[in-house]
Amino acid sequence: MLRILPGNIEKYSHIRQSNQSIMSRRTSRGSHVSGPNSALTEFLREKGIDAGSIQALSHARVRARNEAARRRSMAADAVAQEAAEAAAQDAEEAVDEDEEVGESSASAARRKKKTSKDEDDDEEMPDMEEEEEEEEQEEEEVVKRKRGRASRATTEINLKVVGKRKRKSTTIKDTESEFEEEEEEEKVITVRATRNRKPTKAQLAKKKAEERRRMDEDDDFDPDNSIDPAYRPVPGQIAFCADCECRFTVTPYSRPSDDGEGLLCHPCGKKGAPVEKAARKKKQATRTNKKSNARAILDGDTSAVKSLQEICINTVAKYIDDVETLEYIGSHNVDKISQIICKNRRLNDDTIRLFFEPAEHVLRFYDCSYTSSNRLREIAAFVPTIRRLHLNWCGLMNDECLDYYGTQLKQLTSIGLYGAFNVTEECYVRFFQNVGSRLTEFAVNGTSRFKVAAMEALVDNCPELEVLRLNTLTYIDDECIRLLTGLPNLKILEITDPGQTITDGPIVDCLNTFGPGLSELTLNGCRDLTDETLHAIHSSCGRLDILNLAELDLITNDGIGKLFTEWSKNYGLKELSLGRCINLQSSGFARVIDHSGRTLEKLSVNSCKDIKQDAWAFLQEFKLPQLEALDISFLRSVDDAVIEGILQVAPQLKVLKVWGCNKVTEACTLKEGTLLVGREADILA
Amino acid sequence: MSEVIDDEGTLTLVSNDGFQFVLPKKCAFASKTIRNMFNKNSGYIEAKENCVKFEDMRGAVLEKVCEYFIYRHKYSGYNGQVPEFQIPAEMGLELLTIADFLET
Repeated sequence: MLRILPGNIEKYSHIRQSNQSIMSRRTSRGSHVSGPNSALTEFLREKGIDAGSIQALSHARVRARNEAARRRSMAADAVAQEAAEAAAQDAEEAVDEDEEVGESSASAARRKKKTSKDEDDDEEMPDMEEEEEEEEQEEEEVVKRKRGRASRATTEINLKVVGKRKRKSTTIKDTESEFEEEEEEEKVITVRATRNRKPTKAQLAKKKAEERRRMDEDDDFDPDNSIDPAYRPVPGQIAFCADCECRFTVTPYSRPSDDGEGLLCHPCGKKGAPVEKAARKKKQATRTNKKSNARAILDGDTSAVKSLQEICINTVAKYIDDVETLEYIGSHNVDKISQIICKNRRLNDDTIRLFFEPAEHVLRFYDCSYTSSNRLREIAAFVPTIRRLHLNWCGLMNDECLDYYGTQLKQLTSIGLYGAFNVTEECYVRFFQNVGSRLTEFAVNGTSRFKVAAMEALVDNCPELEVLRLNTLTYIDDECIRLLTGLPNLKILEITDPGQTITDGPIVDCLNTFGPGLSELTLNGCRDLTDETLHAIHSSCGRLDILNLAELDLITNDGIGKLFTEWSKNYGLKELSLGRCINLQSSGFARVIDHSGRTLEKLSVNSCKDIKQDAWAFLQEFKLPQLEALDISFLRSVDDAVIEGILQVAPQLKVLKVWGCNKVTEACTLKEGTLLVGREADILA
Repeated sequence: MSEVIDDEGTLTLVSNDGFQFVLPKKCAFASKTIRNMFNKNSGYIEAKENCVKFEDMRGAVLEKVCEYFIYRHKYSGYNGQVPEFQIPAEMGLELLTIADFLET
């Protein structure tokens, strides 16, 4: 590919030149300036900037510009000659393309090296070139461009040979610049040999991103790389259009011509703009389309048609102001509609007004994430008769709102605030003081601001409290729990997933105080509790119906066995969860069935892996007449025979969970009305 | 329990005041509830008789529901502008509960 053309000679001479100039820059950088040190001089020295180098650079730039101008006029003459030469060569090459590879041994070798390199880092290539390209002195640039144009015909042939290695290029826009690339490639190899500097991956990525941004964002002006910044006429200067050759004033928005040979005047530059804009718009449109399609797939909605529920909610929301049109829904429907709207995640400032029905006593909102604090506050204003209020995911609620509830809702006895993480501890204290002994039910979950002080205020002001649910609170610890001994009327206590450790001592104290009255006790996830708690439950909780002890991995098989042995005080539990109490064994399980088998409606022994075959054999001798839901997931001993046995002894069974029981097969005979959840064969089929 | 569903032919939907609507099964199966009824493995009598009687639906509401089934069948998979499905405001809430029941 190396041909002796005037351009070529010039090119290599310039590389030599540029190398020299770099060398000289390096030496000048090394010279130390002595004298008083200001912060600025220190900074400049650190950055390797000194007067000499700046001067040298500016000289070089001026010289280059002059030279470029001179060469341009020279080149114009040469073009005609070159074209003739090239045409002659074309004909030659067309005859024997095969020979071309061997045409110049040096260039062939170089090309081979390049090809192998390309295979290695195909994608990085264009960027590296850009980097290198920028570093080049501008005269090279000009010459190269000219040469690229002049020998277009020749390169075209070469492309056929080199064409095998298809390059992925992000910057090339038209075929012409592709020709230029070919030329550049060759040059870059030589340059790389002399200057052994490779940009890092990070640099490359940054450059790529910058390039993309520039391509995307620039609306009217695209500083095409084909025009060298130094060669580019300064804005305000007079220039001649490369297309129509008319005289015009250069502005920062002047576009370079397609061939990179100078700038276009405003009317000529405008011609190309609409096409680009339209293309860009189309690209953007497809991008958003893709996005919405992806979202639809994730939501499981593959059709463009909205569901009937959604259409109904939209209609309701549209006519929300027109209460007469919508007709009164009736109290029994209020909760149902609230559930449907929340399920569709459509409860917002507009739709919530549907439920503002004066004289309502119970309001439950299952998803208030899109409801503002002000709107929540209006509940108290519009429905002052409310007795039970349940707000789920009310993350937008603030102090003002809860304060208003405290003073405005005179009949409030029960409130549940789930996920109200913005409400402060002081506000809770004020609320309890305002509500006082009216409050019988309180549930709070998912906040880090409910701490000892709030708990103290609750216990002091609301002695009538019967239901207390503390769910995933970050700062609930032994101290808080000990305070609960001041609530003698408690019937339901739930402490789930506390953020701090809760030990046996306070729980035992509590159970000794209100244990006899408790009907439901949930201690899921209080991982530090041991058999001592079980012992306290055994000795005090006679009325207990529901007991949840999931994830208490410290309690032992013996402890569970003792709890259910000779527990005559209690007539049998209705619900029991021992999920993930991993020490439970067959013997403990047998004691549970022995005591509560007659009354159990729900039972979970999820992941109690030590329950073996003998437990199921034992179960066959019993009846579980009330059992409706059973969770035996991740019990490896469960197989088809066990399932069939369970179905026989539990006639009322509706839901049977068998996740991870891989011995349960499709052959297992099921009973009408029983739902088997999680069978592997069903999921894989 | 695998699904065995035959979506050829028509079925009849009957309202509590005696109106009958005959429409292609393909359209009516936009409702998951109706679709499950016609799963032969679950053995509902509706699947045998090709007829569903809704005890809690007025004729007017069921008509709207059938209109929706046809609308949905017509425009699902259509890439252009889909015209809006019109619901009279006074029917909104009633239809909402029914749409929830029908899972559509």
